[in-house]
Amino acid sequence: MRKIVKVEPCTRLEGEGKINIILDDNGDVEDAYFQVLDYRGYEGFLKGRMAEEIPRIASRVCGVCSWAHHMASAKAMDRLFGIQPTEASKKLREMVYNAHNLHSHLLHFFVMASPDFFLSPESEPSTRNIIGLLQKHPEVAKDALRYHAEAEKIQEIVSGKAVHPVFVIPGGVSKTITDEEKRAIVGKANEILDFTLEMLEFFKENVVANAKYKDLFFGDLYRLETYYMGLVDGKGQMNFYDGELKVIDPHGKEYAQFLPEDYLQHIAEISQPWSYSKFPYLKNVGWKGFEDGADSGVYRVNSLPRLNVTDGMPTERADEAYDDFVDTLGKPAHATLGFHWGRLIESIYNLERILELLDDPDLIEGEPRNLEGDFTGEGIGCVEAPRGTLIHHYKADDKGLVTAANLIVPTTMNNAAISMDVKKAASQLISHGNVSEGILNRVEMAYRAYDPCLSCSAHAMPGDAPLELIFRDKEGRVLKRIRRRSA
Amino acid sequence: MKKARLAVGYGSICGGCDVAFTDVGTELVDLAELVDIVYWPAVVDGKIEQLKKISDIDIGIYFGAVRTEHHELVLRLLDEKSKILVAFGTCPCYGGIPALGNVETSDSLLQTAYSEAPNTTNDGIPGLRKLKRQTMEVPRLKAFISAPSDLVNFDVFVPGCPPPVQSVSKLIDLIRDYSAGDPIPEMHFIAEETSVCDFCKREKPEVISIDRIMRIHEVEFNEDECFLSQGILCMGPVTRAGCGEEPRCIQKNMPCRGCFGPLPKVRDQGTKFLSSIASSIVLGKEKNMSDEDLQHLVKKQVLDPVGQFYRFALAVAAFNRRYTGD
Amino acid sequence: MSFRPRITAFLCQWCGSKGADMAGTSRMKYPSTVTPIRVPCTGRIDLTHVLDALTKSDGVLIGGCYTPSNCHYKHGNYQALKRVELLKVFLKQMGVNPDRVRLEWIRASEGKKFAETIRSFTEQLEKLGPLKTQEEAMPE
Ligand code: SF4
Ligand code: SF4
Ligand code: SF4
Ligand code: FES
Repeated sequence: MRKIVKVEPCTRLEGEGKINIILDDNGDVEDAYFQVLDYRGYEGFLKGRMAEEIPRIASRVCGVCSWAHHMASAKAMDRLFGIQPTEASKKLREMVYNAHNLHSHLLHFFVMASPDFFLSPESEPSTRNIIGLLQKHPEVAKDALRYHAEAEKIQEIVSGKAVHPVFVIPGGVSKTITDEEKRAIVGKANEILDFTLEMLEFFKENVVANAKYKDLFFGDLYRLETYYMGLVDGKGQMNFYDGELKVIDPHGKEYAQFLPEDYLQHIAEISQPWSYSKFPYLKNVGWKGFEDGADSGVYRVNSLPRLNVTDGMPTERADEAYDDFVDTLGKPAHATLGFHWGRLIESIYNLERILELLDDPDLIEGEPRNLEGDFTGEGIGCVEAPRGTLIHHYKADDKGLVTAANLIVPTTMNNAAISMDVKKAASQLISHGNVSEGILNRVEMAYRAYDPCLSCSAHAMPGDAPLELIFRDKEGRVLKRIRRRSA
Repeated sequence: MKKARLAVGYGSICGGCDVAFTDVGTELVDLAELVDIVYWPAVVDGKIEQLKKISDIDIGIYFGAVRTEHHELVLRLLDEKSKILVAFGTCPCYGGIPALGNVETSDSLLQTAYSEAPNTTNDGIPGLRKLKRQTMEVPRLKAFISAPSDLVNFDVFVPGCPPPVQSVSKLIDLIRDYSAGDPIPEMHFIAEETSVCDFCKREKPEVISIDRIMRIHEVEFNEDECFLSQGILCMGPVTRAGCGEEPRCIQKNMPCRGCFGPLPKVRDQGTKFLSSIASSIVLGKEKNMSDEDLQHLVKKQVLDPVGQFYRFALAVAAFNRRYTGD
Repeated sequence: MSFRPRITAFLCQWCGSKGADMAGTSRMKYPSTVTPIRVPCTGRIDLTHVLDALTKSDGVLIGGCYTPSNCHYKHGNYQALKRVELLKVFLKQMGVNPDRVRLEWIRASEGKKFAETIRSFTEQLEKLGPLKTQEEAMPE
């Protein structure tokens, strides 16, 4: 008899995400699936909207990475209207976009993920959250909340709103910054940089070098050998705002490098009736189902994949941190928990890049916008969102009303891999129908590494996700439940 | 002082409201000291069965709009059990941008994403009717998106997409006062009672007459002059103030799109704006034109009333969803 | 069973409304499908009421003074003309046939025109059938 174990909800978004573990007749894991259960249909209702307004509408696909959707759609509109953005505006865009990535990484690392590390993974689940962290490491937790809020302020200084910005328009930005604003940003960036460098040391000492976590980094529990994708600049190095998409194979060899405009030749998606989220894969490798290895088109995006595709880091201190990472985890690194470490390294890069860009007087004196251009009616825009490569593609009629929209979001790209990682973790913890309580934590950690943003949406607020396992028989009758006790 | 019991529930959200909430930074620590969190799927065990068992919630906060049957269930439970019910964000207050989806049918929204996308093969479309693989099912979408405020009565409204950090602080203050025994005024808005225009520092003429409506990528914006008088659509006149000392978007040289929802006493923000913008088009010059020319001019200039005027409050508009058959 | 459309008519007190009275007093025949609502001027009609009326009936008629010069409030009728035109763009986006809203200039003396308008509007709405929301249209 086939059984299904449901782990739900898998973030605090009750009902929006679920993990199903299907047992075979012997009570061993046959399959595991990560389901997305909400659907909002942006591709449908972006049609008919005025193209130049899309950056202010599409940002609502996700409030956690609203800047990524704002930026990717605005870059698509530069092309759709054929208006080349000014040099100053490109630098401003990149600067604030790095601040956004930083903000998102800090939120995820400290509020969501760090309780797993800085409190023991075996600690009482009800305190394994930011509140528990505040009790055990009050200094770290308070600083984290404070600097996270500071990173928010950088975006607010530039765009008035940190979430759902109004900054980018086809051909440029709405406004340059003032000298005073620049100085405020420099001050904040320096402070956050000191903090982040400290946290990197803290992480290395308390987590990477800690025997308790050794398995998590070097064991087989959280390890998939997949393809990896990320944006790189002209030197083959990491860039969040612009560049070409580079793909490497599971052995680290370059598999493809292409312009985002050519994405349709490289990426395809498949849908399944049981999830509102689709499953992208490398078209030229092919969809082989939920499998890793070089024959399966499953690829991963996000921090660890970006570090896997880049040839070193473009800034100094991030590069040092990167060398350390490669020395420890190898290249390509396959350990899923390396995503967390990667986020800290990227945060350092983001800060150094912000400071580098702010050095340019153009951000204050330059031209914010260009108005000249030839309408083309089609545009593709791509950025690295905090959670990985994001592509927006639009077509418009001659009135400039959108006629087609296609969005490929990072959580979707990692969708298959999340199911696979969960399956792996579950297989080792379930046998002959015996499920150990520890599976709650372990399964949680597997998907949390990806920082999944359901329907490119939710992210967790203070703390961790509640979990429940439901054993079901084929007809869906509940056989048994295991649940975490509430606080 | 007795700690207030706090519960938080979710509808369909983008996550921006959560980020806005955490952006108050260390004030979250104050909140944690002030209340007992009895339900918050983020912080404590959050099964729906548990919410069913809890009673005596002092403050219930709802995020997001109602898209699936599950979202509605959470909303109804919170409503039933909470003394004070708070709508956090434009989504629960007015439906928000996700409700723009009501311009299409749920069916056609699904078709677009799963069948029309340029590179998608489908192994089945999830969706409207329950589709299963083994027993893995997805919750059925409701036929249209509703604003929670149309389904239950809220006591406190925190509009904004997302609400600014100051609003979160004010909400925390309100919870503090409430715990100390202060009553909460009826239908309390954490926002202003006047329009965005009242807070806007741009120079505006008495009467606005627009010869041609300009699109934002076509013109340079004069930073000191009212957007409308430059021919650029701005929802300031029909939108509730409260997003900032100086309205957030205007201050960054972008027109208001109405995220704080309608002015007090205005039931339908979009219709109100539609009326006023229609009047402004060639105001005072109509006599020189034929009826047909006038009609043509209006039609040609306003291309997307739904996306422009009803962007945040379609769900609570008089006409709030797709009609079929015509 | 034949479908009898319901029409809500917003009629300006100076013209449209008088036209309707005229049609009544001269016993001109027109279908009894209309619920008339008297307004001071078409320029004063709140479009929210028009939309509300449309959700409760199958068509809305707006009757005002002849353009350009007959409106007692100078250009109320121009405002109505522009607004209704824009409202139609919106209705179309929401899947509603814009012909369900009709604007006519009807002079106080034109009882015949009023009766004619109602007759043809009723016929047109009969062809269109009832206005359905998505849930009503969905099988199952
Ligand atoms: S109100 Fe805006 S920020 Fe909040 S959930 Fe809705 S769309 Fe997101
Ligand atoms: S319409 Fe817009 S720009 Fe003009 S005064 Fe109002 S808020 Fe300011
Ligand atoms: S200016 Fe308008 S759209 Fe912008 S934040 Fe304020 S209310 Fe919202
Ligand atoms: S008075 Fe009749 S339309 Fe204005």
